[in-house]
Order: sequence, then C-alpha cells, then structure tokens
Amino acid sequence: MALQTLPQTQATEEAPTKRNILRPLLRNPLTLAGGVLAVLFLLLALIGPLLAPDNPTLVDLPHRFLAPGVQGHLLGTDELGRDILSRILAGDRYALEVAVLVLGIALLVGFVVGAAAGLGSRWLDDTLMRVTDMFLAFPPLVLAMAVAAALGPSLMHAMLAMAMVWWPIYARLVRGQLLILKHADYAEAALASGASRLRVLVRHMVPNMLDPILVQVTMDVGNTILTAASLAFVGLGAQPPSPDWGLMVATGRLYVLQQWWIVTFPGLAILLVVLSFNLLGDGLRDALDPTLQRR
Amino acid sequence: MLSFIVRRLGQLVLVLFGMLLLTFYVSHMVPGDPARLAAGLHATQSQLNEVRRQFGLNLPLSVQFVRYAENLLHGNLGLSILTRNPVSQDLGAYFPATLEITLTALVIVLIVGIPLGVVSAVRRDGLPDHFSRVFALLGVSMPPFWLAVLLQEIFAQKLGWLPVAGMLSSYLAPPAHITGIYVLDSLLTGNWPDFTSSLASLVLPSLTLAFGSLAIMTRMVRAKLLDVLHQDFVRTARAKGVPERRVIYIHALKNALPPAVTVIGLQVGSLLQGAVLVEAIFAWPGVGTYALQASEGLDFPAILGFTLLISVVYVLINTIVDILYAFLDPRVSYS
Repeated sequence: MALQTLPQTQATEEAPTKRNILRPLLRNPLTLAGGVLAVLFLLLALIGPLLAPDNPTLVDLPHRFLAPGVQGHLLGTDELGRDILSRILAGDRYALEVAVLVLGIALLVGFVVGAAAGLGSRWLDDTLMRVTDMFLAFPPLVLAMAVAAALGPSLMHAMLAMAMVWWPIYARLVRGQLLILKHADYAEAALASGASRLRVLVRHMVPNMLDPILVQVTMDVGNTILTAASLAFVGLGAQPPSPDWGLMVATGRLYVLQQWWIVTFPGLAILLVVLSFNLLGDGLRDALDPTLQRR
Repeated sequence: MLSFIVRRLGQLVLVLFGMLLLTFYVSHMVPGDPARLAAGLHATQSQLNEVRRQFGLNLPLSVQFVRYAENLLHGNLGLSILTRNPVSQDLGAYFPATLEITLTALVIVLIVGIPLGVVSAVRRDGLPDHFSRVFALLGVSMPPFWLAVLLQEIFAQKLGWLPVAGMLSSYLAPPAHITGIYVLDSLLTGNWPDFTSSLASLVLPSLTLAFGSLAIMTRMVRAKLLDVLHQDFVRTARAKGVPERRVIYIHALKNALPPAVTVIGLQVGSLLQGAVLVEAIFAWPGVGTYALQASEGLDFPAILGFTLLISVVYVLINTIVDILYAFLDPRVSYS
C-alpha cells in the first residue's frame, strides 16, 4: 500500500510505520490555507458563542437593518434587529454539529454494513451491496426532500434524510478497503496465529483503512453543511429562528436590494467553510497517497 | 459485451423495484393526515371517509403498495391531493421546463468545460490553469442558492440586463405548445418576442445550475488529458512530426474523452437535482417547484411521483452511460 512507496528520507528518527503527514500538508499553500481556516471554524464553533457580542436570537426591532459597522454591529443587523456576527458565530457551531451528527451516523451504519459485506459470505456481500446501490441510485437532495417532506420539515428529519443518503458512501469505502486488506499478509498471519476475526478487524484492519476514511470525512464535512443549508433554504431543514446559514440567506434575499449584508455574510460563511474543508481534504489525500503527488 | 448489458439491465430492474419500495415506505411515514388536509378543516367524518376511500387511504399498506405498483406499470401515478389532477399529467406539464434548464446547463458545461479543461492541461501551471483551479474550487464550494441570489441582485436588479425570475415576460403569451420547452417552441413557430424573452429568462437559472458541474468537468478533462499526454503514442506522434495542435485535439483528446463520459452522466443527474433548488429561486415552473409546493401541502402522491421521476431518469442515465462506456472501452465489461 501507500507505506511501501513512501520516500524513507524524512522518517529518520521515527518508527517506519509512522509517517509525517504534516510536512506535505504544510508545503502546499492552498492546503495550508484550507487547514488554518478549517481549524478556525472548529475553534469558533467551540468558543464562538463566548466571543459573540450579542444574543443571536435576541429580537431588537428598533435596531433592525443597521448597516455593517453602525452602533458597534460589525456585520450589521437583520430584519429583526439581531446581530449578524453573533448569528454567524452561532451558526458555525450549529452547522458543524449537524455535520458531525450526520457523518457520525453515516460512518457507523456504513462501517457495520461495509464490514459485514467485506468479511461476510458472498451471498451476504451481494445482498448488502444491492441495497447500498439502491440508496446510491437516488439523487441525494431529492431523497432528502422526499424524507423531509414526508415527515414534515424539521432539522431532525433533514438530518435523518442526510444520514440515509450518506451511509452508502462509507459502506462502499469500508467494503472496498476490507477486500484489499483481507488478503494482506499481516491479517492472514494474525488469523493463523489464532486471533479472532473481530480482533483482526479492529486491531489490524481498521487502523489501516483510516486514511481514506479520514479524507472522505473531511470532504464530507463541507458537503453535508452545503446540503443542510440547501434544505434549510427551501424550508425543509432547520426552521426559524435557528441561526442556520441557509435560513439566513433565505430570509435575507427578501431584503437584498437595500440591505445587502443580511444575505451576503451568511452566504460567504458557507462558501468559506465548504472551501476550507475541501482544500484540507484534497491536501490530505495527496499527503496520504504519495503516488498522487505528481498531479 | 451482451452479458454485461443484460447484467446491467438486471441490476436496473432490481434498483427500480427497491426505489419504488423505499419511496412508498418513506411517503407513508407521514405524521399528518392527508385526508384531513384534502377534505378541509370543517369536513365531517363521512366526508373524511369518502376522501380516504377515494384515495385508497383506508386500505392496508401492503395492498396500497401493490395497487400503487400496478398503477405505476400503467403509467398511473395516482391523483394529486392538492391539484386533484393525475400526478402524471401534472409532472408532464411541469417537466419540460425542468428539462429546458437542465439541458441548457449541460450544453454550457460541455462547450465551456471541455475547451477550458484542454487549455489548462496544455498550459499546465500557466495562467489559464490557475484560473481554472480557482474556478473549480469555487464551483464545488459555492452554495448554489447564494450564487443565484447574487446573480439576481447584480444582473437583474442593479444592471437590469436580464429578468429576475420566471420563464417568460408576463406581458407575453406562451408560444404554441409543441415540446413545452419555450425557447424551442417559440423558435419553431417563429415567435420572435417570445424567443428573445424566454432566452433571456434562461440565462441566469442555467448559469447558476451549470456552475458546479462546469468546475468538475473542467478538472476532469484536464486530469484525463494530462494522463494521456504522457503516453507513448503521443510521444510517437510528436516524434514523427505531427503538428502539436493535431496531437492534442485529435490523438490525445480522442483518448481522454471516454472517461469523461462517465462524469457527464453523473453530472446530468446532479444537474437534475440541482434544478430543484434553482427552480425554487427563479420561480421557474418545473417539477422542483411542483414538488416543493407538494411538500408544503403533505401531498404525497405528488412527492412520490416527483421522487420517482427524477430517480428513474437518474438511474436510466447512469445505466446508459455505463453501457456506452463499455462500448467505448471494451476492457470495462470484462472486469
């Protein structure tokens, strides 16, 4: 795998299995920018609400539609007088929570199904993969719309719908990795020396398939945020007065002519968060798979 | 080759059946009471029962599913609870508009994406390459609904060059119905005012829709072309003095495009679902707008019909692309 093709020059004081993935990451300026931005978004999700100058849902009608910078509102206020900077900071935590929950469920379901398919009998593999194909055959946004519409619009249902759309990707990924790792010498050696199948899976195989999963998860943080915002935008996700960025764009577009800032800043926040995780994911993939570095 | 096609079609049938089952199941997890919604707040119990009987809502789920599948095979998607029309008729009326922006976006993706990809591969790390890289990054990260709002703001409201929303100026009567695609119908009937108006209305929605796929297409063509340019036959062609232009556009591109076919297929699917969002923003009377209205009114025959229509088209396109690809590159069907 990737291990053998890695140049040995930099791994002087480290154990041979330990790779320095930070160096190639730092060398690429785009990846560096993406990484810094992604870490910033994560940090702000943790401490952002402490920094927020105002309560993100506090309605203050006398101070509505204030332009950026007026009366200490750095990014202005919206149609209900809420401070936009505070709402964007609250929205960061909100968006990342959604991403973590959706991807957590998707990863869990995908791992179980993928492991069963990859290690189980031929029959089980075929059945599970056909079911996976079925879910993959749906355009994700359309399935999410159908679920959200059927169950009624709410963030909960939108997240359920998104998990339904995302798990097959991980099931495929895990199965594909296991089909390769199953025949790896160390796995067969561990089995031959009497380790149980579960132990081999957890101790020997899982650590070796973390790389592609990590890359996929990083990219999907951006994708899930984008999808959640899209669903909220058409009214099938988060509901008012949640500080959801998609929702903020949806209400802001009614005032776009006179109050451009209401729609601009949340949109910019989505763009930046998605961009940063995409850049980081791209960089990680290149760093973890040196054969791709020439591209 | 034949066995590959048969196997692929077998998978298609299986996936279609599964989809039917899944969409049906999903639409029946509804917490609201569609009969109550259709009959109105002040309906009496007997009126409610009448509505339930009319829509078959009183039958066991399994019976409802068999009836639904049976009807579907006859092209009958049931009655919309909101419009009270057959869903297939509604979808038929709305689909041409969706097709219009989807196809226009596809054309933009192809005629801009392929040349841009070629240029950025040939001038690798040059100015066009950097431009296309930034463009691609923006393309996959830009929220389409936000882009739409910005485009509306700039080109429709500030500059006033293009209409904000809709398919046709409200002062004009729609062209005579031939395909249902306004641009085409007005052109065919020689209706000049309708043609210019519908063409202008088409610009912003189809650009918004094309943006993300365009980025992916450009990067894909670039990557495949770079792969091919390193191969022996290209070096041979150059060595024997074939002009560089011919090497790139005839020898290399011909070998780089087949893998791109798969991407085009996937992009048609993603354009089709992106159309839902874009329609909502530009008040475009397509199936996406129809489905959003249906979802507000718990109209599940309509939602089901829409989900099935889009999913079936999506799956069909992917199957066709797979088979097409096997023709272009026979190695695929043996693996």
